[in-house]
Amino acid sequence: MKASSPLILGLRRLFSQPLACVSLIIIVIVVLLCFGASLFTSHEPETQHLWAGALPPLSYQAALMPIQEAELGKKPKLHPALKKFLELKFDIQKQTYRELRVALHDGKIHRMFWVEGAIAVDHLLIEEKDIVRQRFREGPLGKDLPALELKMGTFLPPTFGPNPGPVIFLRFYSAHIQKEKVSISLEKGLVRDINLNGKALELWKERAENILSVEANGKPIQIFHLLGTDKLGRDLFSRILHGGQISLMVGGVATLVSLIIGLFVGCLAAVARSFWDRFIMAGVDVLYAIPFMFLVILLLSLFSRSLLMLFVALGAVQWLTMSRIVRAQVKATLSLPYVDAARLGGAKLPSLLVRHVLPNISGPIIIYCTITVPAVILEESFLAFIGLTVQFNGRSLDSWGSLVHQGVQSIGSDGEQLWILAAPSSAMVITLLALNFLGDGMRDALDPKEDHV
Amino acid sequence: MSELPLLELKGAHVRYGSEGSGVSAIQGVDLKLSEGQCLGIAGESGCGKSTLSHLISGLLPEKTHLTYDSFNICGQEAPALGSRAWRKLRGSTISMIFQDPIGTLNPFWTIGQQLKETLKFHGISTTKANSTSVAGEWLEKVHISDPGTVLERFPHQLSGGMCQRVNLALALCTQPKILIADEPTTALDVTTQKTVLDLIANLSKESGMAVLLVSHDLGALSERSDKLMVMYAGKAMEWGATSEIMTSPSHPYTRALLKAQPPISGPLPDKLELIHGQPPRLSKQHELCPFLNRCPSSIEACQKTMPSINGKSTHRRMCHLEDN
Amino acid sequence: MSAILSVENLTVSYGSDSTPVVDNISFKLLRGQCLGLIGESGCGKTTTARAISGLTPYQGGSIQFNDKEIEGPHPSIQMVFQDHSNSLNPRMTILQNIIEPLRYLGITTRDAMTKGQALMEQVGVDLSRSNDYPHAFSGGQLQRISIARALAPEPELIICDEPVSALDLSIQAQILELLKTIQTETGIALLFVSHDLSVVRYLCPESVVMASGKILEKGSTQDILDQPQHPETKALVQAIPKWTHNQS
Repeated sequence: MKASSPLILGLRRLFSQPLACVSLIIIVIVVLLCFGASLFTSHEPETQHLWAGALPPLSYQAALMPIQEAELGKKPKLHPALKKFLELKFDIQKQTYRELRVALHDGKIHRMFWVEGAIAVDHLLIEEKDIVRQRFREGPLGKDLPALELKMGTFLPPTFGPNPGPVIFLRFYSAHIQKEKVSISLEKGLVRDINLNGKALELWKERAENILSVEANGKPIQIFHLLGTDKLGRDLFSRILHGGQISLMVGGVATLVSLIIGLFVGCLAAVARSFWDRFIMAGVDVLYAIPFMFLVILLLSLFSRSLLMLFVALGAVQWLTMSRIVRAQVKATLSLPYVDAARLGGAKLPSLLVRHVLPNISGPIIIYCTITVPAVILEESFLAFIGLTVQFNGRSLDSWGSLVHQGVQSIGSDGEQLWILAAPSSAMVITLLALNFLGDGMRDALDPKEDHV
Repeated sequence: MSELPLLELKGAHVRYGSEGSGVSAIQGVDLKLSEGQCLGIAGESGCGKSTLSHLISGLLPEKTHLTYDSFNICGQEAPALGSRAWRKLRGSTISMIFQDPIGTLNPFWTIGQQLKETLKFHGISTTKANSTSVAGEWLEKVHISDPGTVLERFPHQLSGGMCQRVNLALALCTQPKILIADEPTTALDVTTQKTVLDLIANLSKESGMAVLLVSHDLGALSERSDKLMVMYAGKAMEWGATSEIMTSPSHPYTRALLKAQPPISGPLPDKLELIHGQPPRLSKQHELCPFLNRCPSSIEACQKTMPSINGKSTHRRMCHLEDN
Repeated sequence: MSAILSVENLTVSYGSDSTPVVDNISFKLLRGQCLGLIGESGCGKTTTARAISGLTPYQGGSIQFNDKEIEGPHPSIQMVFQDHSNSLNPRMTILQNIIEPLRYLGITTRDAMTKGQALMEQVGVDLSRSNDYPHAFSGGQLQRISIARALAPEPELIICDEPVSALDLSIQAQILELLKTIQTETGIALLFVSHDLSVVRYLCPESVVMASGKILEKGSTQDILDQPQHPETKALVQAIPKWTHNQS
């Protein structure tokens, strides 16, 4: 019989279970992907491509910034992917437009005016041949409108949907499509010349919505979106990886916090005199009665919403069960003969705990930790889902929960743009399942009863 | 007293697990038990005696690989493993008591409820009043002084010895023909051991019931059993009339076992005779005598072939050595 | 021979229970003596053993070891336990288990390891297995290792609490012989707690019989067996199976 340490035997048992091995591999891959995000994607999670809108997975778009700018002799303000080339060609197609704002009051049209010149309008007929698009408050262009009539004092036509908001933005595009070809040459990182439809220019600015494609050396320069983009044009793969950093960190650190507190309280109760033991565990029972999500929400709302606060709040919620497990295990181990023998040898309580008790209770504790991590990730997702996201420097850091929340909001009326919800949800489901299966595998592998053949 | 054997087992082989890597718990064991007899099975841990008692009571798991030449209970062939026919046999023909007295009783039910359930299942008494009085009678038979109170008690409220007596009552109230007692007194005190074993002896004498007594306590077996079988590593080493085996043990293992015990009376030896090494834990199929590596008297023949069975009809053994 | 252990009016009770587990017992153990402590389960012998070793506090009377009151565990009094499967720390190698008491005596690890290996030889455990873990050993071997650990701090008294009760018959003899050899070679006093009278008779010339927390009789083991004075002792002696065979 192989005389290996219990640890090695346990690991061997773990690796003999295919499901646990697969789960472990998945978790390692997820952790590497998320924390090495910058190695796997060149996109930033917050960079918006508003003009592109929601793109489905495996799509390309031209390498653009919201506004392209080139001035002779200066560094060009272009997408980083373009800067290494010497000759760039832009294919531009745009329509001029006039914007109309319609303000509503109690559902009725209250005021209408052209933005340019602030010209007020009483009555407007939109015909089918007009090219009108509705712009949302913060998003890209919406659909074309059918023929309708807008009149002061009347209700808004139902085409605009049930809750259009207090102000409607309409753009009237001219029928004439303007086409431009711009070529820019660069030298030593500075703009050498700019040519618009054959004419030389000193300064050129263009918005991304109007640019069809960018070419260098005859090839289009595009950026790739593995999982597509959300409604604001943010690359979803990058958002999932960065969001994973938050979710996994919260899972790991909060579990660690609960482990430390639980170990401390559990050991204390196990070695204390009967009265104090009962006192501490009664305290734990009282704390169990408090609805914890409520408490966490309260803590986060009253105090800061920093990452540290989240770790503390979630960890402080989880330690109760850990302390019960630790107390039971420590008490059971302290009554074993080898602890008595250590006492007879001269060991005092700290030595007993560290050398004899803790190494032998690691099994159940590890198992509980592998169950706690997915539970905490789920709790954090719930908080993010209801809007209590982690904040850093006043800005929200999106975790998987917030991504799912945004995904839910993005689903169109007939299930379009489903990937914005499906991608982060799948990432979460796969990771949580893997963690749970790994926990199952560990439970079987570290069961002390298995140590004796 | 009839000579028809109540229990007859020939050539039993029990293997757990697959052909190559499994454990052969029993390798070719014969057993015969007649009315009124007490057969003792002696051996150390890993010898297969527990497997044997489970085999006879049909309690081996269904997946166990079991083969035998013949296995008859009261003249009829024993049911297959896992068959429902065992449920009819158990209780009415064969009863068992086991090592852990408190653990073998249902902790949620009172003693009375458990006794009455058995009586009802076997159709011995069906009305409530009748079953209560019959249960009380059986508690008295096992020398429990206050049956009325004990009927209302739960197992954890009683001592180990009391529980084992309750187990005995449960086993005997169906008046079986065979009682299998698998280490019934190991977990009990010496004085309680005597009480329980006395009860088994007396009650079996009254009813002519046969007893299969499995134990590692050679002293108890020497006192209580009529016939004895000494097992080692899944095989029977020596078997026959207990008095003959105890007065002149003919197998080196039996001799060594007896010499390894400090005597309770008579002169104290300077040194106990040791059997070096340990009993084998996992048994592979034996090609040679399993005791070979620990035997103090092995000869050349032992290294070549499995010993044959020899000896007289009341005292047989499996050994190459000459019987002196 | 002088008494190294003197137990006087010892009383031990758990919690606020009115019935003491050990009730006013007194006996002496001489230097180098092997004394048997006999009784059935629940008689208080294990509690007495634990009180003497300093593991369990006592409420009444006194326990004097080398003329000093026992206040807690002391390296001069060691114990071997009944439960061999839990007697060793499963996460340490057997050598580490054996030299564990030496840590607290200020002995360097290297010296401790040398001593540990010497002890392994003394108890008959193969040196090549020093770095194996307890789960790889049988019951008898585990008890040998426990005995080695008990010998490590060079104690003057070793308390054996039913050390062979959970072992196979053929292994019991090995451990009993080992204990006897150690006692004769090192002169360590032995307090042998057991319910098995034949074993006690073999090892201990003198014994103390306990029941319900009290001492029933004490004196020569053979006299107790031949002429038990107390009715409970009589019942105990009569319950022992009378062998009907020839052992010599």
